[in-house]
Parts: sequence; C-alpha cells; structure tokens
Amino acid sequence: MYSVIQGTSIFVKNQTKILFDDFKRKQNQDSFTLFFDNCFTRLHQFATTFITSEAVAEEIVMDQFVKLWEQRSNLDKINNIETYLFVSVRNSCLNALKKNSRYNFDMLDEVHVELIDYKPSAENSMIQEEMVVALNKAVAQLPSKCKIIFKLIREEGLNRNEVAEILDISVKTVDNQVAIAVRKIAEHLNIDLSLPKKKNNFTHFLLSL
Amino acid sequence: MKDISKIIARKLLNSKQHDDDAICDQWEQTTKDNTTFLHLMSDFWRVQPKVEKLDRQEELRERLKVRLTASSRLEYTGKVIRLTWSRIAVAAIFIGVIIFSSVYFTKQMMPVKEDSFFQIATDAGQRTQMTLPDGSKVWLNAQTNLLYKEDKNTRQVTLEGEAYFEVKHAADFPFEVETGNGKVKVTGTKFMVSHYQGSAITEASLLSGKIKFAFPGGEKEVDVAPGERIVFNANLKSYTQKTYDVKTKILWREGILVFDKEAFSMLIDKLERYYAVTIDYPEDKFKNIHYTGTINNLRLESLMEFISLTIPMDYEIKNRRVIIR
Repeated sequence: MYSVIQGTSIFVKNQTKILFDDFKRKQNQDSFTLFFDNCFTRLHQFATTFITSEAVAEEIVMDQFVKLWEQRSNLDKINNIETYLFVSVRNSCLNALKKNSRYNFDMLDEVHVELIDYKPSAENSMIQEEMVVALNKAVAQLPSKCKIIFKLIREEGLNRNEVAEILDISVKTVDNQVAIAVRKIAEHLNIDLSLPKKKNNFTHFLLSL
Repeated sequence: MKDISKIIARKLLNSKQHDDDAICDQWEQTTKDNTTFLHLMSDFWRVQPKVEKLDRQEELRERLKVRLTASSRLEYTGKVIRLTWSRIAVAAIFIGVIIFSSVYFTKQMMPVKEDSFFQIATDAGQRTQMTLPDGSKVWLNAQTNLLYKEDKNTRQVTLEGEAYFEVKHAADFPFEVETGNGKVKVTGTKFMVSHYQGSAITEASLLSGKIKFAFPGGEKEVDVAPGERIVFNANLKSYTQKTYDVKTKILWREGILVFDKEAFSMLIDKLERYYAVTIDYPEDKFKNIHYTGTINNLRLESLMEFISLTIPMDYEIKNRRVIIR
C-alpha cells in the first residue's frame, strides 16, 4: 500500500488529508502510524533545512508527532494539517537552535536546500538533453530562498498560500521569488525575457482580427 | 525591470491575471526558443514523483511506537500526567545537549591527536554523533571514548563505552571495532557495540548487514546475524547469542532508555552514566530486583518517580546525588 500512495505529491497531499481525517476519527495507533509514514520523510527533509544533524532533525519531527498524538482528542482546531506540521517543525527547529529564536525569512539565505533533479515527463521527451542539464544546473545555482519555495511547491505539492504561511511571508513574496528564479534560469539558458514591444502588440491585435 | 518573468511566475503559480495569457502567447511566438523555454518551465514545474526511503520505515515506526507507548503510560498514570510538558522541555534540553556537544566538538574539542590516533570522547550525561574519515557514522553514548585514524583506508577504531555505528560498505577495507575485550569485524552495516572499562561484559547488537565477533586473543570468531545480540562475559569466558529486539538497543540516540529485565545494579550503572549523577543504594536490598521499562527523556526527578512506580523505594535527591534507602 505504501508504494502505491507515493505516486505523485499531489496524490500524497490528498492522501495526507485522508489519512489525517482517518486518524481523527479512529484515534488509534494504526491509523496514526499510516499518517506518520506519509509525512515523516517530508517533514524531516524540511527540518534538515534548519538543522544540520539528521538525528536531531529526526528527533524534532518525532516530537511533533508525539505532541500530535497527545492532543488527539482535540484535533478539530487544526484546519490544514500540512501547514500546521510544517510551521510547528520550523518553530521547533529554531527553538532547538536558540539562534535568537525568532524565525524570519531572511535566515533562509544561508541554508542548504537539495532539490530533486528534473527529468522531462514522457509527453515532453523531445526536450533536448542539453536543455535539461542546463536547467538543472541553473536551478542548483538559485538562491536558497527560491529553492525552498520550489521545493515546497514542486516536491510537496503545496500551493502558494500554504507556502506563504509555512515560510511566514506574503503571497506576493512567493510570486516575486519565483519570478526571480525564472529570470535567473532564463539568463542561464540565454533566453530573452523582455516584453514584446507595444508595436508588435498592436500588429498582433490587427492580425488577430 | 520590465520583463515577462513575473507573468511566467504567475502562470506557474496558478495566479494568472486577466491579460497574462495574451502577453505570454505573444512573447512565446517571438522565437522558437521562447516556446521551448515555456514548455521546459511548465514541465519542470509539474509536481515531481518522489522516491521515498522505504528502508527506514520499519525503524521509524518502531521508534514512534516506543514513544507513543511511553507517552500513553504517562498520561494514564494519573499521578504523573502533569509531566507531559516538562517531558517536552527535557526533550528540548537533550536536543540542546546534542547540539551543544556537536558544536563543542567542532569548535573547541577538535579531536585530540594521540600517537597518530584521534580521540573523541563524551562525559557522563553527554552524547554525540560524528562522521569518521571513511564516511561511516558513529553515535557515542555517555562516557565513551573512541580512537580512530585520520585515514579513510585504516578502518580500525578502539572503543571504550557504548556506540552505534553505520559503516560504509567497503569489502577491501574491513572495519574493526576493538574493545579491549573482544573485537567486532565488519564490512558494511549498522550495529552497536558496548564495553565499558572495568566491566567483564562486551556486547554487540546487529541491525543490518553482517558482523563477526572476535574473542580476545583472536582464538575464536562467531558470525552475528541481523536482529541478533551477542553478549560476551570475560570472567566466565562464555557468551550468549540470541535474537533480540535490537532496535531498542540504540534508542539512547533519541534520549530513550529501554530496560528489559535489567538487573538493578546494571540499571543504576546506566542511569549514573546517562544522567551524570551518583546513586547510592543498599546493594543487598536490591540484589534480586530487575527492572523493565522505557524511560523517555525524563528529568532526574521524574525519572526517580517513574522508576518507583514499579520498584517502590525511598529516595532523596541532593544536587547530582541520589540516595536510595
């Protein structure tokens, strides 16, 4: 069953909610374990963004699950379980670090984020190999703030509102960071992003008539 | 800067504004490269299938189970229910200790060089983790000494105390843990070894892979299989080798101590090391007492309260000293 639910992150995401609802209803260890399987690795990866020691990061995530278990009769107050867990893990990591404790987005400038390499999907198999290599290289060189946003959206299947909440930034900042990333990638691939000239716009308009 | 990056970003994020599509289409048609770029970006952006690390699922579930059981035990024993928050605080302190000790090791206590060997050590109440020159990982429990060489082909370490190893596989360079009372030989695997100075006991538990336990003097070697624990007693010159719930043997990495019918004297030894305290007790009175229980990140006060739930006893705590009557 486990390998089946790992299809894509979107699927995992819905699965997370389904498994959490199931646990809320049953409140037993079996349903909790399935929910735990679904989330642990993702949260652990996120925790390692802040904490270099994998063992400590694991302990922090484990603590969150124990806490959740202890509150199992009072889970209705959580309306989005994913953002809830990501935010709690983020805060616990910072508490553990005691690094002036207060989280702010700028501290993500120094972190290391590992992204999954891009491979073209089957229907896009005509994309040239060099392009793929160049893209992965460009992405690897992005500022870590961009990368963490990429990671949460692409790999965790979260939407921009959820990402904004987890990183405690505005939705506008999410948009801007992605725009910065697009610009840097384009630069790397020698793509000219300048807007089409007004004149063209008019011609286009005429042609379309 | 006026360019199309914001529009592309909005498209990717599903937050298009009304004329974004028109502008984007137009830009796309300017050159063939632009078309390819847009295709590439949206394909890149598609949610990636993840490859999960399934091999650790079992271990993680086991750890969760232990913690939940410990947590439920505390909740249901009405008496200690209020410990929940302090337990969390203690867990945080333990994490603090780990972080502190790793910072401490990297910043101040760079391993000491001793006759071309490097030494890394923990005091009572400390734990730490490090990566050896060959990439193998080691976790040291309290009051442990480890000697190793700064050479990735010399995979021989000397251990006094207790440690858990995750050894990188390299068939040509066997990894050896010398304990002063027997040796563990390895190719690539996860296992723990424990031998404290002055003790006749050396034990090794194997989680995965394959190890050999070599008796002192090297006259005999036995194979240990995954899930097995071997305990060698130098005084009796005998050993036992049994299937064991070996995962419980390394839970100290998370601040969890598991005791399974542990002799009272052994329990006290471990607690003294782990909590960096001295415990006095009348040996005769506790001679035939054994303790079974899981201690999960408890503070000293709570620990004593917790143990006396199963072994009723009179005790007093004075600073770092416990007196049992």
